[in-house]
Amino acid sequence: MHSKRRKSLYCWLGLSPFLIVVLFPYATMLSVALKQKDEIFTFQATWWPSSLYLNNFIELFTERGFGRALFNSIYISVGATLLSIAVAIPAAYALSRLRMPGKNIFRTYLLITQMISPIVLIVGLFRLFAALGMINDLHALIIAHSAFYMAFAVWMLQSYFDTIPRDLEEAAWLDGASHVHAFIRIFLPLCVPGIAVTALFTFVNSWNEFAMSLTMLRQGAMQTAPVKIAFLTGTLYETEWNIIMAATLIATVPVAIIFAAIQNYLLRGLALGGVK
Amino acid sequence: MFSDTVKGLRPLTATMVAAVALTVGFVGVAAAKDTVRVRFAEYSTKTGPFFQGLAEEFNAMHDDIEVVVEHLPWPEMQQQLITDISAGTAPDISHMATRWMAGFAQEGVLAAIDELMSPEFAASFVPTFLDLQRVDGQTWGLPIAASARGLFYNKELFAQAGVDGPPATWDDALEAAGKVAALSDDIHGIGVQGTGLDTEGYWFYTLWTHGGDIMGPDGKSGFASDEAVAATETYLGLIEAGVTQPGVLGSNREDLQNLFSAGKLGMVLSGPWLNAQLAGEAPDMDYGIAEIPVSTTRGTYGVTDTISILESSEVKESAMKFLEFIFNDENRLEFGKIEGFVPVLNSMANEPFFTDDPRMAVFLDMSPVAKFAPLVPAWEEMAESLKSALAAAYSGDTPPREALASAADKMNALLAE
Amino acid sequence: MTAVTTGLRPRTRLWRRSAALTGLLLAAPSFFLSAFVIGYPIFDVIRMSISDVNRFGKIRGFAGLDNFLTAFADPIFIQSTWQTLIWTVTVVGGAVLVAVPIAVILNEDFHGRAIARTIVLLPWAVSLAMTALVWRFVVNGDFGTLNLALTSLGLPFKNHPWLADGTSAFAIVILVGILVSVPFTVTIIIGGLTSISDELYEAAAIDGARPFQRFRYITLPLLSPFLQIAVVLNVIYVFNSFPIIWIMTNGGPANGTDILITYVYKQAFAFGKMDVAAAGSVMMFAMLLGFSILYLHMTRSGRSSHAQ
Repeated sequence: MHSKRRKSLYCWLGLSPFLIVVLFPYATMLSVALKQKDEIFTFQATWWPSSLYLNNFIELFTERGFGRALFNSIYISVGATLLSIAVAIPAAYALSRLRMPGKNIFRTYLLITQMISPIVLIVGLFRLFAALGMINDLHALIIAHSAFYMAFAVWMLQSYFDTIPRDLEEAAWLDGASHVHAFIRIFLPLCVPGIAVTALFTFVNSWNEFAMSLTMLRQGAMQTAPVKIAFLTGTLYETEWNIIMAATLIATVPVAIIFAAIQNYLLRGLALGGVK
Repeated sequence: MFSDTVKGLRPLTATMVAAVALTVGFVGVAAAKDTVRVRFAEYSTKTGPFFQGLAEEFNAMHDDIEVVVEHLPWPEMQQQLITDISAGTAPDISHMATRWMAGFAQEGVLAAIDELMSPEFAASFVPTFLDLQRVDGQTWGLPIAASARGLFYNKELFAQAGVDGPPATWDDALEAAGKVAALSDDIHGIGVQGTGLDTEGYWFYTLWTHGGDIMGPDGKSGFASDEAVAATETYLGLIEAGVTQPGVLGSNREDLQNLFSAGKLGMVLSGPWLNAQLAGEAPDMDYGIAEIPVSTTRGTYGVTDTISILESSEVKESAMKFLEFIFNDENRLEFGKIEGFVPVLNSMANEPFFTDDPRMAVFLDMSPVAKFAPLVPAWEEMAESLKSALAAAYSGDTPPREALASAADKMNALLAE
Repeated sequence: MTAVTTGLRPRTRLWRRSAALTGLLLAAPSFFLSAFVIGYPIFDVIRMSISDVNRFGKIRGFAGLDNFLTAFADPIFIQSTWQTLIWTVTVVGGAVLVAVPIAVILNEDFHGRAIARTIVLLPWAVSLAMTALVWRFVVNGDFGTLNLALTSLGLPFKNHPWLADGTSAFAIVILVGILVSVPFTVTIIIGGLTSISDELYEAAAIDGARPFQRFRYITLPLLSPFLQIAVVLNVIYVFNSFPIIWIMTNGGPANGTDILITYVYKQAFAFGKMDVAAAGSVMMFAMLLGFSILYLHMTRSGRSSHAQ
């Protein structure tokens, strides 16, 4: 026990430089978010606000429509996660289990879809969704996000599926189960950790995506949280730092809670999903 | 579960669906009404609500027109407008920087409004500002905002440093800045902008007051003229004397305003909007506004923003009605009070709000000597290469003449395109 | 889940007959989704790159390779290419170097590990645009919290302007780039670490291997496929990463932090040169593709010669 305590000390010491760099911006956010506007640019910069000022947080929800933006973000991220997992599972299963032509071509194709930044494609993307009448439509973002993040989901799931022994399914087939039945009853349950981790990756990417959401969602009520925050910086002459920092803190919370809840699972899930 | 979520959203989105249809130009709107989509960029957090309010008022007065307001932050405005025009989803009316207008007009995406405006309406504008919206003999928009620039100085710091009043010349400015900077390590004499939006504008102040010009009489770039070099050397002199804020190349316009607002900067060149910021953040500060220091010639930078009707609009006349409404006396005065810009209507010239307050009046007084950026399509790219040249010169890495010559070459090449 | 069931049931017979056809059918939805959404924009970009295009992407005529030549003739394009190389190599290299020791520690069993893991993942919980914005405030010379903290430690950084010269600004954006790339990299590497069986380490310990030797001769070789994936994906993401540089420095001062993606963005949206921007995008794509092929080829042949 004693040695574990000492080891813990060394571990924390080893991590501390990085942890400080990670936490420093959060300390900054908290410091600024609790200040009134006229306390941010003062002659002598300070960490502590003169009094705890919570109005920035309240104003975000009551006057700036940030609650709606969070809802939009959640709606898009959940939708994009479900859609990309739904198309990635069969593709990954095919890559992992079936002898099919063009496997390598398909894998290369997936890699290539990742090589072009959405920023570069933004005009084409906008034209496409405008032609479909889907500007200002949250579902356009669900489709676009899943198209971009699905490739990564296929890779992760495939490498995870590769680690599941075939014997189990084969045993089920011998027992007379259909392939579909074996897939759903035997195979999928074993894959839940891998699917969960993949889902998290997609969720986080979609939650944080900025350029596509900015371009395709034009109305204030449709905006996602990152876009809403950018809009707060956007007046010509002044940046509202106190509101921005409060908004950034709030936008971090849902994802941070998910991380904390499943970090162990997350790292183990990936572990099994090693690349072949 | 997915479809449940969709269903759950449905009641919330009745209005959104209609709006989507509008945006993309689908039918689905009551046929009798003209829908006018108007896009504004935000000067402050009050801009959006102000125009939203005007639209509601206007809609209540007109049974046949429905104005729908969208507002966007400035940094995203250009990209979004270009993307929209390229996909055929542009609004009917759009706010823009006047410097983008020439390029847009050249490509035929803006509507010339000379025919749409009544002569009385056109005559209500201060001619200088309306003339700025003309390219190739046609008017492409209305000057929705206009500003001039002046020298803001902190009277308290001036008194502590024993400086009597605002400097009249650049030599005086150097001396005053030196005295103020000597007060403490935390106090800087004068701000010089080195990065971000309007960096080139900060340089025009010195260019024009040294008698230089952006475009010479021969129609070629004036970036590398002797006056331009002297102007740049004036700023470089301030930087090298250590009387500016540290790290000029990292300071954008907002950084300078924040320094001034915190009482850490003796002087800064800025526009009337800074009054609004100071009223909110440093209500007790004792400051004055003077004309830009002079070397040979009085001058200031006049900037307008434009509001245009797009050529793709099918409701141009209704759109013009809305523009006439927002440019009536009452609404313009209200806008001036909210945002603090210089009046663009003749009728406002004697309005006490603009003339009685010395912090507004100084901008009006300088209007006659205001100069403007040229309306050429590739202006943004010229300005970008000028910014890079200025950064090279301010850093001391490249002699001003050499740095400016590269920007002038670039500008001449673009003019020739 | 329902999508999967309905997708499969009618095809059960086919499956028995032809695994190949089933495989293609299963892969089809993912293929069509991305082909539909990404395919048209890519086609659009390639078409614009060889056309004479106006400010709004309308094609005026065929331009052959003119747009590519225009980009090559622009010294800022060349400068941005070099800076992209520096940016990508330092951010990805830095992220891997930082992530490996962190992953090794986080893989140990120690008190508070769950908290430590959550904190390490935090930079990933905020979008890059927000991270960049917050850091712009942190490194602000006069009001930023970085100088506040450094001066309170007695260091001489009062009012130090971090973004005011090209080198220091580039260093700052690279550090922020590393910071945000670490969580993803750590997750992949821990994945690799947990796949190494403890027996190997026990055997090595019996043979008297020291910790560093164990790391060098067991951990690193077994980790290499994971490092390879981390490098390829990070290179792709970092090479194309836009918000950090755009928001913190806008490519300045004096183009000192411009990379290809900011160059392309300026060409397209500020300068109205959609065609040159498209040509730049196509070249960026070619560079990434070239890198990926080369890297995967090199590491793959390297690895197969390792395997007994």
